[in-house]
Amino acid sequence: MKALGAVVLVVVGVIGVDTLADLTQSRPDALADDSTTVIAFDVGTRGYNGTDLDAARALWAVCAASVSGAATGPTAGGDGYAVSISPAVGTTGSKRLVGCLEDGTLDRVQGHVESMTSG
Amino acid sequence: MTTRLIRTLLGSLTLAASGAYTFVYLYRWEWNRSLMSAAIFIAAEVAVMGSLLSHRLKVIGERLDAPAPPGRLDRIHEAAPPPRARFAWLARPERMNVFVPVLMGAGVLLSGIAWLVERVARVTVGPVAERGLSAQLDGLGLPPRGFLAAEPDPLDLLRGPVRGPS
Repeated sequence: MKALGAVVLVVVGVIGVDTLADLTQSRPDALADDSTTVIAFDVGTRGYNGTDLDAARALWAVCAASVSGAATGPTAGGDGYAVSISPAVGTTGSKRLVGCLEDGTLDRVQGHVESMTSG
Repeated sequence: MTTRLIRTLLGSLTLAASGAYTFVYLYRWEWNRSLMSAAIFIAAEVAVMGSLLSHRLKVIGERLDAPAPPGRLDRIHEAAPPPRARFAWLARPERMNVFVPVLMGAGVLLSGIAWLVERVARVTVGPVAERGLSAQLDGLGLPPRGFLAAEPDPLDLLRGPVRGPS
């Protein structure tokens, strides 16, 4: 019985680690030259030394390195800020970018991704 | 009891939530949050382990401090074997007349052996020791013909210039 439990534990552990590695592994995405991704995000600040636009620019300056492609922005529009990236980012690139923007990347600044459209 | 239950529940919930969110944040590529969640998990683990160990030590201490049940010590004392006399022949003073002559006889015998060893050593060690001392002092003696009339040494040619007879 103990041996069976140990085998089950090892199998579950191996599968779990392999799944987690697949989910967190970065892979090169297939990029289409004439495609564009528009990401809209908002920032919340608390005691930040500057305006919200400054905070959005600082946050984007840090997170722009997580994706390839040329970006324009961020520009204020609607309820937040928008950045256009060409060529469009892929699946893993989107994960990296959203994770960077919504993580505690900058002190006193919290980003929130409103939408991300590729076309 | 209620405090311990609440403590265990809080610790378990913190462990489960922080451990789960460590992997959730990893999946979301939010490394800072994942690191913070892992730090909370480790802190909760240390707290839970400290609480468990403290409880175990308390239980062990209470078990050690508990008095023995009545009657058990009496039964142990009754079941103990009778004490053994290690030197029974010394326990009775009237039998010391055996011990004293044996002790005196052994002392006389050992003294005789020691006297014999001392005599043999005195006879044999004297000449050998004197010859060794003489050999050791030989290096401190004066040259047989004095310092001024030393014997010619062929190696003198290597120690300085050749001097003619003066």
